[in-house]
Amino acid sequence: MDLRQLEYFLAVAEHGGVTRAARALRVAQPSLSDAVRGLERELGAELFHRLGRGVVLTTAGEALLGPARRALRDRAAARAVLGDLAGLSGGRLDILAWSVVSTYPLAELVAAFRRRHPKVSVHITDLRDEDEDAVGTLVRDGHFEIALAYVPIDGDGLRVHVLGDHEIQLALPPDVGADWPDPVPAALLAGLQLVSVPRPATMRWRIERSLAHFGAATREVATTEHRDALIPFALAGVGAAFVSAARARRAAELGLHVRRLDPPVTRAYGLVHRPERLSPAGRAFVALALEWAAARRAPGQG
Amino acid sequence: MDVRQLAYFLAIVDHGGVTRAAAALYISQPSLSQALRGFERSLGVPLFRREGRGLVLTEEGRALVGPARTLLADMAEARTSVDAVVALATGRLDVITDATLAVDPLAEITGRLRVRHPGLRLNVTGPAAGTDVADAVRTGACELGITDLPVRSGTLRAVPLGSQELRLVLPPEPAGPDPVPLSALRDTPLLLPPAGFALRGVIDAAFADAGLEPWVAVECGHLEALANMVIEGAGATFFPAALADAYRMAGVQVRRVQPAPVRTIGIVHRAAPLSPAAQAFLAIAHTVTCDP
Repeated sequence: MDLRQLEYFLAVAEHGGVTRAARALRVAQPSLSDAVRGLERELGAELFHRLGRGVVLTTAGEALLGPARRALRDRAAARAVLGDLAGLSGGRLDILAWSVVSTYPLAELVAAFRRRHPKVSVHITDLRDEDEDAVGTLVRDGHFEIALAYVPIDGDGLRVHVLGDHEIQLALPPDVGADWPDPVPAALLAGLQLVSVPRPATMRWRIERSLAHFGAATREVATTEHRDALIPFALAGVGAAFVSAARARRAAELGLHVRRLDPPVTRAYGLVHRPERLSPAGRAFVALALEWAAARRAPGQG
Repeated sequence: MDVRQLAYFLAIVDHGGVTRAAAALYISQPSLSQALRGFERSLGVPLFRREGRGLVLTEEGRALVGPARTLLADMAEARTSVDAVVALATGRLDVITDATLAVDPLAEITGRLRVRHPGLRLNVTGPAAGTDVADAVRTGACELGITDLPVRSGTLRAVPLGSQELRLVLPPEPAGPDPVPLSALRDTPLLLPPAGFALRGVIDAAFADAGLEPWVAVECGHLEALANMVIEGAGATFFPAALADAYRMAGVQVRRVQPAPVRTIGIVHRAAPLSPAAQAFLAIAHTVTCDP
């Protein structure tokens, strides 16, 4: 029995199914299934009842939950000990990040972290839209030390530091937006042709709800899972795009007409980690992020 | 009851008799009479009765007229909506590809597609973890995919879209030689997509071919995040030439690499007949060429 099997078992139990667990951990579904079956063979017991659309823990599976969680947390503690020994002279920092937050401010934070600790490598795992609710679980169970996500989240048993917020702005194609007002009132968005990410991105739902309140609705002409493609699609004239203020700067550089929204749509993001010991790299990163957030809030700053 | 019977019935009503209705329908009068008799028999009620030398609607016949017209209108609308899809006036196309190819060349193809077929909706997704674009197209999850060629599959057809050369993207300073030999990057911290991303595979292969081990300082799957980190001086990355050039404005330096990692890309689809939307997509893709 190894820790990877336990990690996978725990993920399937938490997510109620192999498909969702595989997505959340970003591993191939067959690998996950094989690992769980291997564990069942070794233990000589079925851990899950396999139902039509998901799985349910057997009595044996229920019994394994506690010990599996403890093992993963102890692995995290062991890594922390090893990290202590290595100091910040090596090793890797694993961060789970929601995609929009990766662009900003995570890129900036990672760059600053690398300047301070050039011997530590950083691995950023993408939290997909549909796994937004999984952040708390993934950190709590020891899959990731640190996560950067939109808040609030189910932070039971976790430390959550709010770092700032994203404002959503509108990027209009070159031939469309030149004479649009800034900010754009919701009513003007009625019938706007839009390139967007597929539902159920929470930010998108909030925008639509805000618009519906004013009797407006946009018209989706193309959807893309890849946020990196939103601005290029808008530039190619496919449609307008809602982008965070940080991406909006870049959009304006490239020739899109960027407008703020009225009323503004914002969402707070934060850093999430377990209260017990972080590795030295984790501690250093949290400290850096908090410094960064404090500097931005200081009087005289933007 | 079928649509033809209803159409014949309404023709007799509208033209005031079997003879005139038959002429309008370009069928023989005996055929129409026979069809009417068959229809009445199947309904079990008379729709017309003789009055003098003509036909008059029975009470049952009168009751049928309204519903018959409604139903024929429904059928016409159903036909039109299908025709519209065929004509690409409305319709949806699913394309699967990775983030880098979604930026280039898919953005440009989509832009042109919208000009030609404004009613066509494009939905772009990425391959699920552990699978690739070819898998998704092969299993029928998606009709079209854009990916690296060649694909290892006998059942997929590939339409080449040319090659993309990868360029080195560096922080604003310091200046340096151009082109950069790959071997000079031995001690350069690299910011790359994680393993499993096609772009990373191309970069790893280029280093492996040169007998070099890249120093990967940061792994992240978002192009814009990688670019931002380069701008902040965290290290260097590789982007396809067109994308790299687009970021010059943000302050990065773009240099050629020797030997240059190259991505050969194309559209893949199954051998089965393509939907009109997919055909339109392929036709437009031909007009978009990759930057060398």
